[in-house]
Amino acid sequence: MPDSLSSGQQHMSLVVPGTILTNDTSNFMRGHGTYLDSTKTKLKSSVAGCILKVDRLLCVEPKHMRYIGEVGHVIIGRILKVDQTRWIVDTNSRLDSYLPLAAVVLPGGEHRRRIDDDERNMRQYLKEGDLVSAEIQIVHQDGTLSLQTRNLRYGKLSEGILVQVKSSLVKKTKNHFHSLPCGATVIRGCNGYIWICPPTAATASNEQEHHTGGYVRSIETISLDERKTITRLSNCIQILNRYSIPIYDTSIMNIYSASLDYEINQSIEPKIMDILAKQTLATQENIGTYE
Amino acid sequence: MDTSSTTMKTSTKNNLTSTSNMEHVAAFDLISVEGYRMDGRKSDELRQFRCLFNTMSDADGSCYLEHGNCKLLAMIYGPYEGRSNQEQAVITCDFSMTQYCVSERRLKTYGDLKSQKIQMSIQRVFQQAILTETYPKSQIDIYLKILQSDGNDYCPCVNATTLALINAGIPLKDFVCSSTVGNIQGKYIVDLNQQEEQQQTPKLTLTIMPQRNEIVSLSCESRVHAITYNDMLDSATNACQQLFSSMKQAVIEQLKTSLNLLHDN
Repeated sequence: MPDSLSSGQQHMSLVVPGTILTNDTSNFMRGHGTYLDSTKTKLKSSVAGCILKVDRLLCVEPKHMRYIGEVGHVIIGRILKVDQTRWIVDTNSRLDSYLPLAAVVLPGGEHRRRIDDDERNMRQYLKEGDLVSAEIQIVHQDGTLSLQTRNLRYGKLSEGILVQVKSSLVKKTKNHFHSLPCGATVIRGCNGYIWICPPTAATASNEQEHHTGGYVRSIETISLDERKTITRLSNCIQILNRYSIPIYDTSIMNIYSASLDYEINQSIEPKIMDILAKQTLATQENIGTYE
Repeated sequence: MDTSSTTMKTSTKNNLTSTSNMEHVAAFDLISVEGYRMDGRKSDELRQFRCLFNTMSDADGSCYLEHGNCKLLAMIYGPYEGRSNQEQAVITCDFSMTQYCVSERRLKTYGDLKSQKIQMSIQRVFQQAILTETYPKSQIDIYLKILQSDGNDYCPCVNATTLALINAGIPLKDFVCSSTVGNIQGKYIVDLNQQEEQQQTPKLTLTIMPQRNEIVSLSCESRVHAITYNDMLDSATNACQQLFSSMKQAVIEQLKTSLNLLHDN
């Protein structure tokens, strides 16, 4: 046991639930992952993770937990239910999220008036099981999220693969829509859902989308090469997830080019996953940038 | 292991006829003259503790725990939107055993009185330990599966649930550690295994929050002298503290390996 204690002191930033963070409660503010003792004299951590100190605010960041939404995040969700005037969406967060009818673009353009018929036809636009990309508009007091898809970038997703990863690994960057040079489009949802689709699907002509609002599921046949690229990318992202490597365009491309030495089905064999993960880490320039 | 346990049973049965020196003989069988127990442990020594995290990729948090011969899986699903509209998170627990976890194959693996009892107690213990008020309208499901049983199932279940909850990033007031202690021939032996558990001797099960020095649950189903009781409580607390340090070490190791991967090279 002394081993763990001494090494624990080296990594003072690592704490476990119940560790006293400070006795000075007047000078520090209680952030996520902490709680005040019943006597209100001690601030303790409630999760296992790294201490994060921002000025007077003390937080403890656990390695993995359910997604906590923030305004402006790009996310991918699955429709669970069609309600009166809104869709109920699963976004991998603690509570279900909502996509109000008023927050989507309906066929016919942005400035169309919404009428009662729209409420009745909601299931025609999005039905249970559909995937949508959206942006978080409001985070409510209790943690529920309100989404919006007013921009034509967002909306229904038709052909592609969904990969689920730990939400903490999705690096928050300016852009979450990537047209990768390998010939596929990746949407990195901040909630840990990643969508991989052929390049044409995301760059469909805006004119056509104005008419349909993007609610028409395309049933074009995707060429074998494109399908192979998508599958390889999905395997690569799963490896990044398994080895807790931050997921963003550079890391995806690094591991993708490393994986080209192997067949697609080989790339998820444990030995090769290990090699690929190590190669990716070695080529990564900014390691440890883990927002 | 099997042969020794059967001989144990026969010897105690034979001793039932001469009740006067039964306890003495039973104790002699359990603790050798040199002070070692049947499995070679000292009286205050715990069984070997080993755990693995993230064993189930599907769950929000999971843990595989080996405590001596006891092997089990704990899985956490949630917090997700529950049906009730409560101010606090609702915690549910599902305990089940595999058919092959005991020496004789059992057909019914869940829903019996024993598993219901464990489910209820785990639920109550963690209702206290989890900061439920941070998760209104939510539900957290705990699933426990015994792969190999070794006497008391309750204690390893509590310990595995704690580790799985930490793995899931669910806020806890403190670790929750549970251990047993028995009194045999004036000796207090901690962390009883199946053979020791079957003896007709006083036993005590203690669950504590080690850093807060709080007792979460305590059960003692036999009559013991007040002095003996206090001593038993002391050694059970020590056992829980020992267990806490190995659990803490496991959690920190796990944190470090995942962070080292990021900072290496």
